[in-house]
Amino acid sequence: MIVLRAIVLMAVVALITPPFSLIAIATAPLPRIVRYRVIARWADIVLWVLRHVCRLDYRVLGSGNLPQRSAVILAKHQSAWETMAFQQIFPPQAYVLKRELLRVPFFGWGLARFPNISIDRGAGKDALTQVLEQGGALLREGLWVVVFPEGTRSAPGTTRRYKGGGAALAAASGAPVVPVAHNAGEFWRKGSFRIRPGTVTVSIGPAIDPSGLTAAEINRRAQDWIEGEMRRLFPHHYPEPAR
Amino acid sequence: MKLVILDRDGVINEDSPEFIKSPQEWKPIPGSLEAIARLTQWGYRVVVATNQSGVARGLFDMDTLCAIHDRMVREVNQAGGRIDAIFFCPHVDEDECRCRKPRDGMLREIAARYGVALNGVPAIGDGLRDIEAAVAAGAQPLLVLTGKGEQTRLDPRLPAQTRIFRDLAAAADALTDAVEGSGIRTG
Repeated sequence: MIVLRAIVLMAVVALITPPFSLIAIATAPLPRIVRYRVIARWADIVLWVLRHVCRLDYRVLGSGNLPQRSAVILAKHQSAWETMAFQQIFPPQAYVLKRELLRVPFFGWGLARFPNISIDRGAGKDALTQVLEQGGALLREGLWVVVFPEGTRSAPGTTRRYKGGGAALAAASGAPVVPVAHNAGEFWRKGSFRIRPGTVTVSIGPAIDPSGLTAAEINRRAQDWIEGEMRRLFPHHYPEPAR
Repeated sequence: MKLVILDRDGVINEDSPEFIKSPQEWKPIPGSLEAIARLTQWGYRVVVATNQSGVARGLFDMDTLCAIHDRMVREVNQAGGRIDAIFFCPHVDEDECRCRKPRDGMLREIAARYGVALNGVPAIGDGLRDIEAAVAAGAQPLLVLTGKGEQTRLDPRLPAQTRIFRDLAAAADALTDAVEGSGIRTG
């Protein structure tokens, strides 16, 4: 049954992505926010299938923590799910993503018309400059910027090093940081075809005001909140091994 | 300080092979709330240590577990008792964690948090896992015959020093009668 549901999901994605990417390309002359509204429908459809066919729903804790202005979201990354669900949970947003994603046929072409900061992973310091410049401009326009500080998807119960790019963007732009914890990976593991039915819990933490803080301190506070919240909400992912 | 450690399902509340997945499914065993009240009034700090693998199995989440424990604490309060702390293990056997009974991680954590040795501290449970954890931690194992207790009593692996009581009420009676000068006190 789970496999059948996953096949339906794949079929829907395969069916809607090419026309959507053509529509996305056609929106090129339109203002950024209009393009966003059009292209974000793709995620709405996929989430609808996830909810009604794969029975994967979500609930949000801490919505009251969202600041009234555009912010940098630093979030746990466990699956593809959050990149779509965040479009329903948070205000219009841009993603920091690896440039290769934009070369994926259709999906990447559409994604390129979606607000994003595409970085060359090999570029090192130049990548940070790109994040600061492009991210600062997007935040001034009122878009939120989503950064997965661990860089890539990680399995439930694991933590990668929190890289400082998102925190540096907050420090440089003055935008608050919103830390986000969730357990999407419990239902949809990286590299897995199977999607387990259930309810993802997304928890939004208190915004971190960057004024007077170094990027390293912002990064540390975001990591402390996210990792603490992960252990509070999902202690079953963090067994302490018996000696 | 006098400490007593209780298992939850099958000791305080009726157990279910389908797990206790909501506050509505949490039903106290007759006399257990009053037993906790009696322990409290005799100066015991009552601490719960419970395996709750339903969390790892995805049967309920942390908010639900907390809601179940809210109900338990409220009902104990209504009966005049107090639960000082609840320790739980959310994992499954395959996690090989240190906290899941029969391992003694939870009991050792309790000892560390309270700054006491567990020697002689009564630990009351209905399953072999509870008894084995108590023995591993150096606590005094008490088996109650509610929940899985009747089965556990027949298990040849049951440690010989296990004291057996009909239910939590009987165990609490023994502990509160015996307290005066009997050495079941610690710290």
